[in-house]
Amino acid sequence: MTTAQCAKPYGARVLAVDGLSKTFTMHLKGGVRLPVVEGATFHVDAGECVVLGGPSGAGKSSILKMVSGTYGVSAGSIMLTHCGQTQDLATLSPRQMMAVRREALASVTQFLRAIPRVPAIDLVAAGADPHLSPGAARDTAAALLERLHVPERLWGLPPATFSGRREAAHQHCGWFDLPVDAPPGGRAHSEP
Amino acid sequence: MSVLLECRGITKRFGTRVACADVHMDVWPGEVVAIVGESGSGKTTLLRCLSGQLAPSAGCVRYRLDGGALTDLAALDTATVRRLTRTEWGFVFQDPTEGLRMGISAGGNIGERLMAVGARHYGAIRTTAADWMEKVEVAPERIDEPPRVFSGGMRQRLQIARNLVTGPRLVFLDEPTGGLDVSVQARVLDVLRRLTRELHLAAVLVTHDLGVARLLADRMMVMKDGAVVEEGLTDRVLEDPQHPYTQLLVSSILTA
Repeated sequence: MTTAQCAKPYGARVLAVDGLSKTFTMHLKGGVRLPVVEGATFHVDAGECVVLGGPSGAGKSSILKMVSGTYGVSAGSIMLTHCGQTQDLATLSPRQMMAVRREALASVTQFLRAIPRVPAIDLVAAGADPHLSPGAARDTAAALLERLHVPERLWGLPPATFSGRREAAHQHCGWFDLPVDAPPGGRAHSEP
Repeated sequence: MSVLLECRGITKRFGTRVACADVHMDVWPGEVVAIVGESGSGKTTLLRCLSGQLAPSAGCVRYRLDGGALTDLAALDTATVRRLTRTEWGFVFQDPTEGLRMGISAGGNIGERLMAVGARHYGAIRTTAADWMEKVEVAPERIDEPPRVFSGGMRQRLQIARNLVTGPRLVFLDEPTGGLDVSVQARVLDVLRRLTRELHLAAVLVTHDLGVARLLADRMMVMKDGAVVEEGLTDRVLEDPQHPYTQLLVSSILTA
């Protein structure tokens, strides 16, 4: 569903995180340094679903934010392999990271920050292969929303009006590459 | 894909005052770059240097003219610059009265730019103008009314239509939602967001409003006292700001 449809042999290394650390420096609080992640090391292979467990504040989300480029990396490496090419996400330029997000990585978060006022179907279609025509992108989006059991009557509405199914719409089409940040947050258990 | 506009070491002095100092930036096709900072930070001066309206005191701006080689703007004659600003570039001013001709009709404002690139068939020009009014969500029935009878938000959307009708490759936006009420602002932003994506436009956006940058920009640069203090992916700059000034800006956002 992403731009480059390449084979991901089952078990092949997709992500290798090594010695990953993050420290925030709060300049407005007298330069206090806040270490939130220290030396995180793990890997994810194709076909695997890896859970980062731990109590609130343990740094789980910070790790995912470093992987997706929203946080900078203080130390360590994040090797992502996509289409036979391996690169260290910790060192990419903004434009290189934009390309990775377009082609190799998708994210879902419990903190829905969807663009306001944009209908769900367009939001999902925006994540589709940029080479698809607008019509084909909408078709792909429609198929995905259907698969996620989002009722069709909601497709034309912005997801802020949705219930627990909202993050389903938040998953852009390049879905299930990586990472997933606590997606069922705030969702009632009765909703599958 | 290759870089569309690049500037190297742009400095602009007004007398002894330095408005912007040693700025480097690249703009690639299809990306929206925001320049944020408070008033007086030099962002509008930089935008005017980038768009050829002001000659920098030092440094150079190069643009990939007609998709060919990168060309130094300073080396172009005025006729070429004028042609550029009417065809390959757009410039949306904060104040629509600067970017529109208030005495001629809405359709005339849009059609004028088409005629500047050689369109002559009146019926076709009128049809295209009406289409564009629809694209920016202004009722095409009002095609013969002058901009002064339109509301502020509609004028701004008309200005956007006038700029985009010739299919520019690069658009400069100077506080495009600056003087508008929030609800009206939202609609202008939606139109801009949709059109930049659909038309695969490159844009340089100047704003003091981080919310506007978050909504529209892929990358952002933060300016303070004429210098760029931080730049990067929009979400990275907003969620993991490094420079003390950026941290101050981000912590000053009012959350609704």
